[in-house]
Amino acid sequence: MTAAPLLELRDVRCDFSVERGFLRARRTLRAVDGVSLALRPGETLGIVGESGCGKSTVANLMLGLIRPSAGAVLLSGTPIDRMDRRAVAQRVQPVFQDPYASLNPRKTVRAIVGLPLSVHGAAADPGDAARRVSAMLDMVGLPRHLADSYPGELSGGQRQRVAIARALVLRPNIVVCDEPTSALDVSVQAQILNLLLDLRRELGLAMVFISHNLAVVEHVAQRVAVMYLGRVVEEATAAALFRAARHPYTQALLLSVLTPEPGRGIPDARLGAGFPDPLAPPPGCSFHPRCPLAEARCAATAPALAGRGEGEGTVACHVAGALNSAMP
Amino acid sequence: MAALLEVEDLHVRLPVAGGTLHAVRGIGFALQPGRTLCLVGESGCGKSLTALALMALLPRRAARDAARLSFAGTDLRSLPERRMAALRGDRMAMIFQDPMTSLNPTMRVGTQLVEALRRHRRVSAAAARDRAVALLERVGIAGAAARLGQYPHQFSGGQRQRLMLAMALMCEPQLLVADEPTTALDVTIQAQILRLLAEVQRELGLALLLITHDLGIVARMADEVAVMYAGEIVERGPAAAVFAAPQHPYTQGLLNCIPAPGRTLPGTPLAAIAGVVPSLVGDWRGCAFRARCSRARPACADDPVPTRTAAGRHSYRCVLSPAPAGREAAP
Repeated sequence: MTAAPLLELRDVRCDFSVERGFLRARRTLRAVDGVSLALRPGETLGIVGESGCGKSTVANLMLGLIRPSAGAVLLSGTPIDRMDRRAVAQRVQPVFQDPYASLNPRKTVRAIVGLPLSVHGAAADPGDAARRVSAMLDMVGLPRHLADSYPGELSGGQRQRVAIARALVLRPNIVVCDEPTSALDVSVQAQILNLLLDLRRELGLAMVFISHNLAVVEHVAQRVAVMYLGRVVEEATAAALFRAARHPYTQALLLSVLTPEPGRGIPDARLGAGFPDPLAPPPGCSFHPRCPLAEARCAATAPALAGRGEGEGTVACHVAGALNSAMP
Repeated sequence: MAALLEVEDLHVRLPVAGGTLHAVRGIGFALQPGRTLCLVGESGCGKSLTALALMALLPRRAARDAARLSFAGTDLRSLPERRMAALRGDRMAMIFQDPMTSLNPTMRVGTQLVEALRRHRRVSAAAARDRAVALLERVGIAGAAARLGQYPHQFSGGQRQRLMLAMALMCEPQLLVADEPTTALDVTIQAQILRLLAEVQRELGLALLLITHDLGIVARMADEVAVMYAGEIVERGPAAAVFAAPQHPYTQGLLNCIPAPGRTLPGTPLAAIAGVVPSLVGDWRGCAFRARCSRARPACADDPVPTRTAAGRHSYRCVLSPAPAGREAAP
């Protein structure tokens, strides 16, 4: 039996009203369309997909930064919009992609990491706060002499360490990382990934890890959800998903990863058209205009998530679903 | 075959607040027609400035000097800007990471493509337009004739990159310099654009200088690789040789620190390279990687750093002797 989810999205929809220009009607952009996800204690859930698939909107929903248009976001069973913002922040904290934009350039590292403690009144006295900030800086591997530096004096990797220290200083049990290493060089990316893996183990953190880099997600996540145009099209354990992707989109994503193996050329994922306009999503399965396996029914009805046919996990595809049920 | 592009001892220096930034420090390479050379390295290693130096597009305050800088037999070092401008966009073309830096947002796409050709060639507007349509179709833009009247913002990111490639090809260049052409794109679109680039290169016999930070792209695209670190080429050679038996500790570190299915076990620590890139302001002696290198020794501080040959054309700059194939060389 699996543990109750720490964080759950239940059939969540999120619409944005988009201005399209002078004298043109506003339109609704459905960024997230009926997504259900669950994060269990100590687990790392990877979310992958291309730009515009809604993965960052999911992150913001999980952090309580935006409200769902329909459905519910639950923290240990309690709807997040009925909770105090501080109570949410105490349990769920973010690490964002751009450590240049997410740190106040006019504050020292010490002040940035200490701010959550004072906002939440979490430290017993100034001495306690200072001790906790120093302990946190040690934990993320920032030398103490940098505590009085400003973000502008730090490298990208050091800034991301500051962002992680700030996220963890309140000891949340969930960290939502939205592309945490995408702005970093690969050698620094490895340092930050190692740090996140260490902290996850030491603090027993549950993590949501959002990235477009599949190799990185495969490395850190135990379970992976693949999103396309606001929907989860496939979800499975990382091992099962990367061994045998079922959804044609997941397959195309995996095929497009360029591993450092010379002589293998550039793969052809046979994705015809480009990414669809999210303001006018295609009818039926939103992937069908690009799908090499598309059939007539794919343009007519959207497939529901169904069992993947091998172990746990789900996939939303008419064709892959039929392939699974045809298997012995 | 004679090299189309030859570079020897290229330096780029930039005056900065604390002194002189030695951004490119004595690099050299040669590129043959029909071949792809990848310059690979992390941010600040000098790879983009190298490209700009070749095209004479460096910022005004930057200084370039070289022992040799020749393109198809022309010495670029002393070429007046007027003659350089005639070469640029004609026989040597460049595409960038962000297509909007090279596309004019206020001009129709067709006008820009036609202008790219008519600036360098005496052809009729109708002939130029025909070539634009043919090239747009070649780079995979459907309904090309109808789209000539559109503006760049009406194209998606991947399509803009295709547009930019078409524009670069208008004059049938011999050399194409591509600086991180797919870095801003999604992985599926990246694969499509790289396939297109490789096909076009083969068809036209282009010499391609591809600049990237992504070792996956290097492995799949390059004939030859040059690994840059702190303004220097620290390792170079045929792609197959460099990936099979990387010799420089930095190259080994780069390859080991990316998670790779089948080589790294999920959840286990990655072999990160400790520390950060050194500042290149002021003078520098010895190997620039030594502060981050697990195998550094006193000799690493001496100049010059020896250039060693691993096999054939595969060479590297390091005091260490060549190690046999296998990335898991013990530190």
